[in-house]
Amino acid sequence: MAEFFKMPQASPTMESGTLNAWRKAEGDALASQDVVAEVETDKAAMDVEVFEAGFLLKILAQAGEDVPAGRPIAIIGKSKDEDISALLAEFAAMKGGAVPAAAQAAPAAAQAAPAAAPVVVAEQPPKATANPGVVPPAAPAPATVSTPGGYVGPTWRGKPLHHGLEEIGGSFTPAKTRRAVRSSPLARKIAEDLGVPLDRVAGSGPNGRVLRADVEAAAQAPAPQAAQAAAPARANELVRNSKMRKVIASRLKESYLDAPTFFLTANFDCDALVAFRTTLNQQASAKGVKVSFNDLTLLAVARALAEVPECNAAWGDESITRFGSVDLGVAVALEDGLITPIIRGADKLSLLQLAAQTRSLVERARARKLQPEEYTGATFSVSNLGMMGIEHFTAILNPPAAGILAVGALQQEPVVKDGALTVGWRMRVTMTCDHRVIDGALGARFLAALRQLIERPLLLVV
Amino acid sequence: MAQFDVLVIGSGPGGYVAAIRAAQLGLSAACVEKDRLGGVCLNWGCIPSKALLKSAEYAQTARHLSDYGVNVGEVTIDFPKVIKRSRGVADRSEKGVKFLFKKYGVTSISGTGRLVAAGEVEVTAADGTTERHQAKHIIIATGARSRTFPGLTPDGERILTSREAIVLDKLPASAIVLGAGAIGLEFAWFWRQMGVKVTLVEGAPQIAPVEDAELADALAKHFGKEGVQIRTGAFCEKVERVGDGTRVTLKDGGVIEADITLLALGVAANIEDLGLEQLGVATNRGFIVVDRSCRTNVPGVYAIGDVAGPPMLAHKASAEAHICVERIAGRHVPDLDRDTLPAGTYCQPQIASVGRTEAALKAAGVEYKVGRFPFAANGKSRGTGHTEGFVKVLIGAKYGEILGAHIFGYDATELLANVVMAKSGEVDAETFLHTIHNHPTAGEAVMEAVAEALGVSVHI
Repeated sequence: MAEFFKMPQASPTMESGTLNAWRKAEGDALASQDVVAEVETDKAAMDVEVFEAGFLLKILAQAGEDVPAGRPIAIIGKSKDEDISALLAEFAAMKGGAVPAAAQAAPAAAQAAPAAAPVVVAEQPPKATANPGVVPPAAPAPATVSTPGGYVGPTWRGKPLHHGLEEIGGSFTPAKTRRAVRSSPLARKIAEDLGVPLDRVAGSGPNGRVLRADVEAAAQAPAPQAAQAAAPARANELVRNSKMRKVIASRLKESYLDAPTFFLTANFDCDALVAFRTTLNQQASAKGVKVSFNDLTLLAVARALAEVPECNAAWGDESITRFGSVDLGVAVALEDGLITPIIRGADKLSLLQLAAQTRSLVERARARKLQPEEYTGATFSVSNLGMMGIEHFTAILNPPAAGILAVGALQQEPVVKDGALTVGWRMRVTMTCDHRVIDGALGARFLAALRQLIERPLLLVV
Repeated sequence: MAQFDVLVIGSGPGGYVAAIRAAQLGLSAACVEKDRLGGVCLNWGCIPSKALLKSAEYAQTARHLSDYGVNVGEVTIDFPKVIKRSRGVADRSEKGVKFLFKKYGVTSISGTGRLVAAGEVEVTAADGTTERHQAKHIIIATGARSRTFPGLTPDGERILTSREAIVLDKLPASAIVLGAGAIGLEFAWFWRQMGVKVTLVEGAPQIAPVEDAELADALAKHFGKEGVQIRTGAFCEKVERVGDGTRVTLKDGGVIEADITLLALGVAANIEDLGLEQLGVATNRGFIVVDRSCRTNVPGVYAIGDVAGPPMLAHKASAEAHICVERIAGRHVPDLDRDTLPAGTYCQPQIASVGRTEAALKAAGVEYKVGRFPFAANGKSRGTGHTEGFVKVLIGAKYGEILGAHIFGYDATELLANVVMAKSGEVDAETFLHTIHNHPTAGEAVMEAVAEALGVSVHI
């Protein structure tokens, strides 16, 4: 028999939930404990599961909708072709103003009818506080529901505990706010008593665990400025390091600590480059071709490396490797890190080939679809923050390559030309050099070659 | 001449732990020992005495086996075998240390160590030859021995210290035990279970003077029931040989005679002939003065265990070994929490305690709640027949912290571990109470005592 599938009440204080997304579509078969929807409450985002196998017959609430707890969000049934017209009529009546009996008496009654509600799992830890310690004089008895279609409540060893452990209305199960501070139970109790915020106490126990003595010492320490005490700072947030973040940390630290580096900055006259790109894009637009300053810069760097191959190299204890190919790494910012996809043999590519390859690599990098060989083994790298308004910066070497070029913004500025003040396009680049491989004069030679190509961009297409 | 990062003098539970831990932390380590590896604890104290006491417990149990419906006939004691088994246990313990030294690469040096200069130790071997070793860090872990007083000195035959008593393989008909601390109590109980007529003499008003008075009372009753004569508040003036036996004269003029007398009047630290004076290592009241990292006033010289002051407990020595060596290696470890050092007395029922006694709390003016639970009300204990004794817990009135826990009962020392863990981790009474205890276990009695302190006990 078909039945309503309702917005779960995940906590005693939850009044409604936002349906973030449906994970199943109408007509889909449902296995027991399938996640059908994602719901967000005031406290947490969670997955909503069905308890019994069946079919998702009708979706009653759309993604983005805010639905009161206990209100139907779907109809589920045992078979695909069940008649749900009665339920639809009932739902229409509800929408017309009447609220289902169970939800009407919310929150107590809604909670008291748990058997008809879905299972909630994978709840992210709630941060808010439920009314602590208030015990109702008499907890209402749970209602009996003849057609169990779901269940709200705790689980034990991964399985729903649906015998006698339904959440009863009222604040019988106070959930205290517990921040992620390692502390002893005694320290917590004393901190609460003395009004010492635990997250501001330095713990002396193993792994920084806050102990009684730490709390007492903090309580005796001079209070922070009154203003601070009046408006407590937002609690520190711990952001778990992603795999990528860990790789970035270890590789860059290794590089930073290992290589003796120095920096060479050059200021390029880009009037010709700007004019060249404008003409090129105008004339080639019919062909659907578009070249960016970044593409031009990358090609110039690749060609300059071909001219000064001593800079396309890496340090080794026994010997320096001069790479046979210019494999140019391009730093691409991601939401939570960065990655350096590689344009192989970049100096051998035409401008348009390079532009197309770069576009494809960057797109796939952002979509996290790169294969490992596409981002390992750069012989030189380019990091461009010009489009983000950075005039000048330095980059950390991307090992094993002995050089990386930090490209600043291409911008108009006052310049002196032929003894007169005028306005010109300028771009500053800074090369980070591994001094074990690249000496100052050698780096300068590379930048001179690069200047040739940037300031005389027609050379890029010959 | 060899050079080490760490050289330890003494291989007891302080010394061998320090040497092994140092080696584990990548330091070159050596350990100097003049006798058997493992010190008093493994050879003449803690461990072999537990072997003797197990024999005593079995003798006691055997006499009551018919209560359980098991009949074994007359119980007799093969005393030389009791001692032999104990020696076997000691031998295996010593081999264990030898094995661990080898496993972790600790250089074992046989002989008597003595500081001769900063960073230098001279070792005199049994044959009188000497050898010098250098070490950046020298740890003194020479332990302690039975204390003697004028008029109260052992003769090694009839007037004994624990060192002779533990290997004494001829059972006397009667014995006097002077001192009712852990050592005295254990020997008194052991000999009594072996059938010896025992008189226990203690100067303090209670036996087990450092323990909570309620436990001492209960223990005294148990000893009385077992037939041990107890004289508390009785100070000894002298002990002397009288023919083949001994005679103890008390300060009040009383005289007690027995085949043997055991001097269990405390222990004295082994600080002599270590070269401390030459190096200027400070001592106070017979102990080496150390800071909380076990450093002496002389850079590069450390002291751990009994030589570094009371309480004279093997696990205190081991704990100090860890703290000392970890800090030498530059690692962070917390200070020794003396208030959470447990102690045990291994007669059966045993006494186990941690933290402060009720009398100490009263004297300090600390507000506390007390909870007690008898093993007779504990299901498991009734089932096994170990109903003697009780648990007493002392809980802070305001915050519910565990101030002290005192257990008198069967294998109480094992039960205590739970409370020590809780106290060490600053688990308060409520958290302890909401920790679900396995049923049926004697450990539930501890939980019930905590419940009683909070006024929420169900089973009493």
